[in-house]
Amino acid sequence: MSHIHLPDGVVPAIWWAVGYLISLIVVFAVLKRVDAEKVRGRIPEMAMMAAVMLITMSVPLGFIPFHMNFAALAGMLVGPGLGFVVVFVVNFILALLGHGGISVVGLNTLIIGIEALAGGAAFRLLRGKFGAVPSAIVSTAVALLLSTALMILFLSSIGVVNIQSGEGVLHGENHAEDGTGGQEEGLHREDTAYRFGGIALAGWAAVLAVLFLGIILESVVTALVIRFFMKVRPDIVNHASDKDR
Amino acid sequence: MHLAAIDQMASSGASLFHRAGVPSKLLMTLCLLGAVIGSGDVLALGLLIVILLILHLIARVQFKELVHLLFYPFFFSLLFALLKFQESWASGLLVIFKGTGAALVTLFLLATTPWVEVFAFLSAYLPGLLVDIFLFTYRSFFILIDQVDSLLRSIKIRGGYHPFNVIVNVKNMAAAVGLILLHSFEISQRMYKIYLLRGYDGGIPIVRRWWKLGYPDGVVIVLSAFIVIGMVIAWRLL
Repeated sequence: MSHIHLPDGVVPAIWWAVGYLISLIVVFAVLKRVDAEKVRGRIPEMAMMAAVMLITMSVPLGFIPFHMNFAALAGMLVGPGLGFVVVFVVNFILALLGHGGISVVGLNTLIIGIEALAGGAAFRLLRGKFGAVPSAIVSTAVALLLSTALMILFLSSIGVVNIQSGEGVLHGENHAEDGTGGQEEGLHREDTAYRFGGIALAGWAAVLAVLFLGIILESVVTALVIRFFMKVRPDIVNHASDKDR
Repeated sequence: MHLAAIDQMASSGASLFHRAGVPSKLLMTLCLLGAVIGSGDVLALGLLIVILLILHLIARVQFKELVHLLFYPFFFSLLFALLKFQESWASGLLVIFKGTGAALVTLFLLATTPWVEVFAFLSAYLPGLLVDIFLFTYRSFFILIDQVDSLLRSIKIRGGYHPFNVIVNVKNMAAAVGLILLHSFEISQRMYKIYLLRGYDGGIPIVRRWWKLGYPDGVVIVLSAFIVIGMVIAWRLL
């Protein structure tokens, strides 16, 4: 759900350099830790998850100003660590196509990677006690809350978001003529006023309403996808409990 | 997504830039990105964008696709630029030029170089597993697009889409995502097994001699040097 769409040249160099450094350290650490031969057989699944994320992150939902990431789902299906690697690959390809600056790939990987790490880890912890579907809902919601908080903190620290009014947090409502997007994070002029039916919300009320809707929607869809997998191919979900993922 | 169109341009193009090797084009990309991100001069950046557009023209990149893809960086930088325009017009333009300029640079690389060649070159330096994920993501994307296309059509034909019933739509959407993932997993696993049968054991074997430079490489390297020197001189003039 969270994604920094800032173009190159906006984020101070120290921030994006540190973002790249930390995300690359995590990616390399994960790849070094896993058993390459064991994991190689699951590359098609990781790649397919990345392809799904590429598509969902390119299509805004329309009725609320955000797009789904499915990073938490990636964490559940391929494991938290490898989910983080998948997020890096997706962000890199999106940046090459102009969706988010190439310099913010590291920061985006960290923010969205948190969804994969937290979502995957929480799902692994909870599913034994509460079952796959409730665990998927809770894990996704927690992961999305974490990543959104991290994104707002980052954007406010570089002065793009006004932490007091909530101005600048939401995606825009304009969309590209090809239908692929036009959403932005952090830079919208009119994002403090949103209409939900007959109710108009502004400031943090609007931000929280949109975030709440977004988190519920992505959590429910993720849980339903997990439920579908548990019905037809439980082995894919159960793989994620392997130790080296 | 315009990945398929970009891929077609990169694979079927025959311009000087298409014929140049990956190392020289990556060098040019790094030089251009450094120049765009590091520059603080609006005129120099404007000139650089004009040069980039000329390069796209020489490489015969389809401008229709380019304009679509440039919408993202232009739109996002415009919003930030609106705040900056209050400081000065130069600060606002600088933000727009940097956002769209950097996107023009990466799109130029992608429109003139097939992804597989970029991965092949990078596989010499990056962990094999990471290169494999990049390569298979690229392959999977096209499998997935086909799947999504036919599934969306059948959902509409069979009445699975209800414009005013969000709950039913969300339920159907989750089933559709699950079904697409499952089908695509199976297809990509089959593809992976075919790769294994053909002798694939991770990474991409490099058959090209990257260090053997040709005339197009010379042009690209000289151009990179020219751009870097030009930007450095521009900074000093400030």
